[in-house]
Formats: sequence, C-alpha cells, structure tokens
Amino acid sequence: MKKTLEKYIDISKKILNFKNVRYAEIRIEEYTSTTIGIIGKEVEDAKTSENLGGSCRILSDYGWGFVSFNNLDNLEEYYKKTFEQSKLVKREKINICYINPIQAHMIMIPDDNPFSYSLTDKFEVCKKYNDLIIANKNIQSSSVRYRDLLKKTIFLNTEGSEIYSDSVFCGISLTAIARDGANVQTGYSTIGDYNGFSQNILNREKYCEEIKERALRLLKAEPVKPGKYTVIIDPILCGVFTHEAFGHLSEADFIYENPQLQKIMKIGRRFGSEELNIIDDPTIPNLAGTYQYDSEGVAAKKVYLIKNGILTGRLHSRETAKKMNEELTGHSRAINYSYEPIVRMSNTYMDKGKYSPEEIITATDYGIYAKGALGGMTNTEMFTFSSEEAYEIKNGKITKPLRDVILTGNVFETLKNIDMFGNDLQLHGGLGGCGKAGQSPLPVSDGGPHIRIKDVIIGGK
Amino acid sequence: MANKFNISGISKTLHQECEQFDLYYANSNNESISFENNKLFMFENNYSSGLGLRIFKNGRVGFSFTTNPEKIKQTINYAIASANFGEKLNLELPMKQKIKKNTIKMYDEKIENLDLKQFIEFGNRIIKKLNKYIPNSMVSLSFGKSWGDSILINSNNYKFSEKCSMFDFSVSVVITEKKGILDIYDGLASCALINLDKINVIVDNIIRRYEQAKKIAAIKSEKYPVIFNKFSIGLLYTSFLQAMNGKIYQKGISPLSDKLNKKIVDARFSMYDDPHIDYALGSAIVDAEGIQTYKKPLIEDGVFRNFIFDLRSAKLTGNKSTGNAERSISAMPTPSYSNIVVNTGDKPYNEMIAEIDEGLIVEHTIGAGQSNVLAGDFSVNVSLGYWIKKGKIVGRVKDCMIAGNVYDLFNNKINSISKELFIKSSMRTPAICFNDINIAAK
Repeated sequence: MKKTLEKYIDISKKILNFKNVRYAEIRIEEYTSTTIGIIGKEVEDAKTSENLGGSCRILSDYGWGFVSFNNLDNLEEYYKKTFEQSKLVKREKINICYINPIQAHMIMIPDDNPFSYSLTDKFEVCKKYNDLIIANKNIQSSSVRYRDLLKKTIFLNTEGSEIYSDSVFCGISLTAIARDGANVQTGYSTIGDYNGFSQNILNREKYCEEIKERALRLLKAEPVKPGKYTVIIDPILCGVFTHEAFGHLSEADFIYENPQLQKIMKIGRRFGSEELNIIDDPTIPNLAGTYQYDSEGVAAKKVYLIKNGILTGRLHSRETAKKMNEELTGHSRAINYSYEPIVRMSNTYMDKGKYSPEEIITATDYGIYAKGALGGMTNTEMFTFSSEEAYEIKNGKITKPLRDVILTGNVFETLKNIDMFGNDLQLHGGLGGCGKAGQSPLPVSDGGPHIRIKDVIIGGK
Repeated sequence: MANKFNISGISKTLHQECEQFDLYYANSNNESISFENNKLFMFENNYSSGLGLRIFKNGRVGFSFTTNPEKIKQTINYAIASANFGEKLNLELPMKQKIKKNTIKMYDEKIENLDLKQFIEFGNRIIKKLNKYIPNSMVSLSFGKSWGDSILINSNNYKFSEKCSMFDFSVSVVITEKKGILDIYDGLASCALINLDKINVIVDNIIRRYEQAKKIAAIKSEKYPVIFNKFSIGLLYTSFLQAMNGKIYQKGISPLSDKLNKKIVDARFSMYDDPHIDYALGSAIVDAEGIQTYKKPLIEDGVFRNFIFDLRSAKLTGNKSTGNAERSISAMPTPSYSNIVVNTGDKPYNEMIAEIDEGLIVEHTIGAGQSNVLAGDFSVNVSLGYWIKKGKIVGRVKDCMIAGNVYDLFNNKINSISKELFIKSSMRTPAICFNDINIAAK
C-alpha cells in the first residue's frame, strides 16, 4: 500500500484539519483486478484492469455530504464541495457515536497469492474446467468465471484514525446448463474469499463433474406442483434464507427512523423456537464477508441477532447506533470508494441444532427437500428463492427429483415455522455478493444447517 | 473536471502496437439530493472518468480499462496481454466520417446548471403531502442530475464526441402495518429537465394507489384475467428482448433463431427499437462503436422482424450491425436496445379494468429472473397487485404468485391492449390484459 497511495496521506491529513466539522472521513482506494469469463466455447473476457479513486464524507450540524471522484489531484476542492453540501442539509441535529482513534494496518493476503500467477496460468485453469463441463453432448452451455481483486485502501478521519489495508480476494464460479427442448436446467457452484489461489481455484475438477451431473439429472426431474409443503432446506439455501429474509431486517438503517418497524423488530421479541439462533460475524478468518474495521473505521464485532428465539441485537453504523442507543457493531460498509458506507451484513448464519440431516428427513412423512440456491429476492417481509435442485420426501425417504422449485413466504411466519435444526452448519462465500441501495456486489458469506420448515408456499411454472 | 487522459497520445501508441483498436473515454458527473424516512438525508456527488481500450492484435481481441491516468502504459500492456487469450475476431470498425450532430435532442444544458437546493423545499412539501394522506408512511425521495461527455476514437481515425444529460426523480413510500408491509414506488427520468407538474402527478398517483391497496383482498388459487401495467409489463418483455439480442442469437441459444419473418405472437402486438426520440433515455445518433442508429421493428403485427446487433455479433452471424452497440468504460461493447416502443391498442385502460369480473392488476413483483427467462417462463411473487371484483378494485393481494410462459401469453391469451401509452424509463408501452393466468395464493 505505502508506495502508491502514500503521497495522498499527508494532504488528506492536512485537509481533515481545515474546517470545524463534527465528523469527516477520507477514503482512498486502489484496485487491480483480473476477470476471466468463458461461456460455452467463447472467451468473453480475460482482462486485468486498474482503478483508483477516493471519496469524502462530512457531517456538519444537520446532515451528511458525500462526494466521490477519480481525479485525486483535486482532493482539496472535492473536500470543500462536500463541506458546503453538508451545510445545506437542515433537519434535526444528527448525532453519531465517536470512538478513540485507531492506528491499524490490516492485511488479508493469502500465502498463495493469485497475483503471483500469470494471466496465462489463470486462463488455463478456467479453460480446463470449461472443457470438462462441456465435454458431454447433453450439456448445452457452460460458464466459468474467475475474479481476483487486489485492494489497497487508506482511511483517515477527524478522530485521528489511520487505517490502511491490503487484501487479495479470489474466487471462481462454475455453471453447467443442460437442455432438452424447452427444459433448461442449471448446475452451479461458486467459491470466493481470502483463502488464496490453490485452495479456491485449483483442483476443482470434482465440482465440474458434480454440477454437470446435477444439471443432467434435473432434466429428468418432474416439475413441482405448486402448493403448500413441509420443506427441508440444505445449508446453502438456509444461508440464503437467513441472509435475505431475516438479515436485511436486522440492518438498523431500515429501522432506526421507522417507529412501526421498531415495534416489529423490538429487542426481546420472540421470533422462533428456543433453538433458533442467528448470528452475524465479520471476524471469522478469511471468509468472503470478513473484515477487521468497517468503512467508517469502527472495529467489527460478532453480533447475535437472534438468541434462543429472541431478538437480541442488530447491525449498526455510527449514526444508527447512536440514534437507537445501542452498541456499535462495525457493520457500515461501502462496496468501494464511490459509495458512502451503509449498514450491511458480513458473514451471516443460522446456528446449528441437534439433529443430523438424516434424522430430519426420516422424521418427515411428506414434503420437499430443496438444495442450493439459484437466486433470491425480498421486499422487507416477503421473500422468494429458487432452489437449484429438489426432491420429494415420502414416508421419511428421499424419492423422485423435482425441478423449478421456487419458495416464497413471509419471513416472520417462516421463522416460527422452523421446527427442526440440523447439526451440520456450513458457511459459503462466492463470486457474487449482496446488493443494497445500488451497491452490489458486496462480498458476504452466509450459511446454516439443514432445517425443516412447515407450510412453505412453492410456486412452480 | 478536466480530462487528464492524453487521448491523442494513447491513440498514437495504439496505432503502433496493434492492428486495430477503439477507445472509449467517458466522464460522468452525478449530483443528487435524497430524502429518507421523511427527512432530507444527504447531498451526494460522484465525478468519475475513465477509459476502456479494445484492441485487435494477431487477429485476436483484447481489452482493459482504467480510471487512473498514471497507469495508461500498464493498461495498454494489459490489453495486449488480454489479446493472447481473446477471441479470434476481425471487425470492420467505422471509417472517419462527418456525422451530423444535434439531429436528435439528447442534451439539455438546463440540467447542468440546475441548482438542486431548490428541491429541499419541494421535497419537504411532497413528504408532507404523502404523510398527510397516507398514515404511518415512510417516504424516500431522490432528485438527481447527471451530465457528461464521451469520446469514441478508433484506428480508422474515426472520432465522435458527445454530451449527455439526465434528470431523474424517484419516490418510495413504505407503510408498516401489523398485517404486513406495503411498499409503493415510482420514478421518472429524462434527458431533458422534467417539469415539476409531472412529479406532482406521480405523487398524487401514489396516494391513489395507496387508497386502492389499503385493504387486503382474499383470493383463491385459480386461473384469472391479469392486467400487466407499465410497472410490470417489462417483466414479460424481458424474454423477447433476450431472445432478440444478437449476442444470444450468435450463441445459438435464442428460441427465435429460426423464426425471422415468422409469426411468433398475436397480430395485435408490435414492438420497435427507436433510438430517435428526443430526450428519451436510450436515444443516440451513433452507437458505442460509431455506427449510425435507426428505428427498426422487432415484432411487427405479431411477426418477428429483427435481431439487434453490434459489430461482433453481426460479423459472427453474417449480418450487419444494427447500430445497437452499448458500452461502459469497463467492458467491451454488447448489443443493447435503445428505446422500446410498443404499439397501443383500442381498449381504454379504465374499461379494461371495468370488464373484469374477477382478476388481478400486477404492479410490483419480486423474484423475476429466477425461472427460465429465455424460454419465456416467469414465476414471481406479486408484491403489489390489486384485486378486481365486478369491474372494481377492492384491495391488494397478499402471498400471491403468478406464473406462465410469455410465448403462450402473447400468442393465445391477449385479451386487450390499452389505448394509452405509458412511459417507463426507456420504454413506451400500453398496459395489456391477458386471460387465464395461473395465480397461486396462500
């Protein structure tokens, strides 16, 4: 970091002393990124690129101003512009949490750094996987995507904090698409975090085979009949549910100025059975959503959102924590310099229970076993998720495969309807991420165990 | 802010280093004022600039981009390295030519000079009004202005530069009640400054929409007539738009591959790609590869007429570019639509509703894109939809999913097409009523 961005440190410090503001921060970030995309027989993308930019955020008495830019030579001018703008906002006084200055240099660079590999090395690996996937006449198309990101950042604020970071992320996604007439089925696998090239990228032939077989298997599956079912979902789908359906409601910026939502999301309220625990933890090493300090320079903390079925916490920024008089958690994140920090999740999961996945299935007379997630969406209380593959359960046994299983429901009812928790917690990151307020994709991971939910609506085609 | 990229210097280097190239520079400035939770929240500005390089070397294509003027040399090297793995491709980039500018209006200087401060008062008035008529409402608003310029240069000494501008407004009202959360939103965007009266109309409509959605209507799973209005009809068009995209066609996965000049839907349905509408968001004189744009039918009286192409997808399929290339600095061009225009029908929208004995108007949905969109399948949760009984809206639906296939809908199930044309971002469309759509309710 020091070499390239160093020249902006002194000027930033000088600028932050200019005006009498209540709080101000300057972020400067530099990225180098390689992306590779092979789709079917075509190379769509194989490039390395460079990105440099910064932003200023200032709180004056009544409001925030935010300016982002690529031209760092005008840093001082932009800071003044931010200051003028922050002065224009007139409403009741905004208070935020202040903390003691932090001096830190965070490093998340794997020993097996993807940047010690050439573009040729990366390309050859992707090509090999793609060749493996399409080597079957019933596989109509494939997709292999690789991305790495070398990120160097400077964070300085009026509290006197100086936080530098260097990190290297890498990941890959593999897709197999099988087709029989209008019936198109997808097998998908992705990984992405700070664990380095050999762990994340090399030796994934097994996954290529798996997704290929799954897509082919799904071609023969029967379409599901729409209706209400008892559903068992696997750790991946449980993670998507936990993140999408519940996690977003724990983001305090949704709640802090909404008295009605505050009533619904009241600390101490029961949301599910004693075994229900939901946690957000940015401090688990090397996962996609891992960090030490958030984009406001606040130390990241593990937060119990639900403990033993009771709402116990939520995710905060400096502003929401102050307003709600709750503890700072360090969950204000920006995807990059061109956005202001907003309250986000990190690594979010539902904790494990006591049953083995087999016990859950055996205990189910009739229902659907849904695995993997192809997508998910929510609007505060409603969610829809499409599972990657599914099976009918009859008399405690997994029977015929089903396809096109899309789950929908109300999150509060669904949480209450979880009646069995598995003992097999897993967390997954990936190449994608979370989207909120135009900031996408933010690297996050999510997970959970196998769980059983009653009365889930399944929409088919 | 001044352009710090030495574009003529970069061109010179590229002329020496590779067989062909095109270079796209964009400088964009966005300023916005936002209100959240019923209060003025923030002024936010973004000033970005950068450069994308597409080069052709040893018969292969390579690409890189940067926002850092100090890394130009490296970026050129990255692009050249990229060409080692790039597709074998040889395009006929446009020649140096004189292009008549200003034939289509796309830039309104009033936007650049607009003082966003005036919206503090205006926004507060809107919030007051919405709060008054909608109990327990949480309002978010944003007013934004954008302006900028772009330059396209290629190895044939072709050069085209243009200015653009945009004004946009968005509003969202969230009402949290015991029985559920209701979210109603709308927005407006144009390359010309928008008259404030139009914003007031949107706000009044939100109040009207709330009145209609206040009650929850009980429904049973069944087949019903369903109206898709300007908010939701785009969901159905997506399948057609993907299938008619030259890139999908070139990949051999378009369900319309063998359907050119054949009837694919009901003869009452016509859809155009029209880049020549003054101040429309998708308008352009030339596309992102420098090819002149023109209006073309996509579906005409039910007959499929045109794929859209950029230079690459045209070359690989033995066609000509239709002037539909789009690009940002960070990626190579791809085919994309300009403004989608759908012909209106003969049914007044009010009558369309009045004629329904029992059915649904779909407005907002969640979960689009999770089924096989290219094949025409859709399956979405209706997050805002109004239930019609005996020709009248009686309330909103809850826990309701609709599903179907758009080729089936547009072939066999069109009941009527509205007389009115509605604008939704770069799309101009009537509302359409379909018969017998599957609705799954709790």
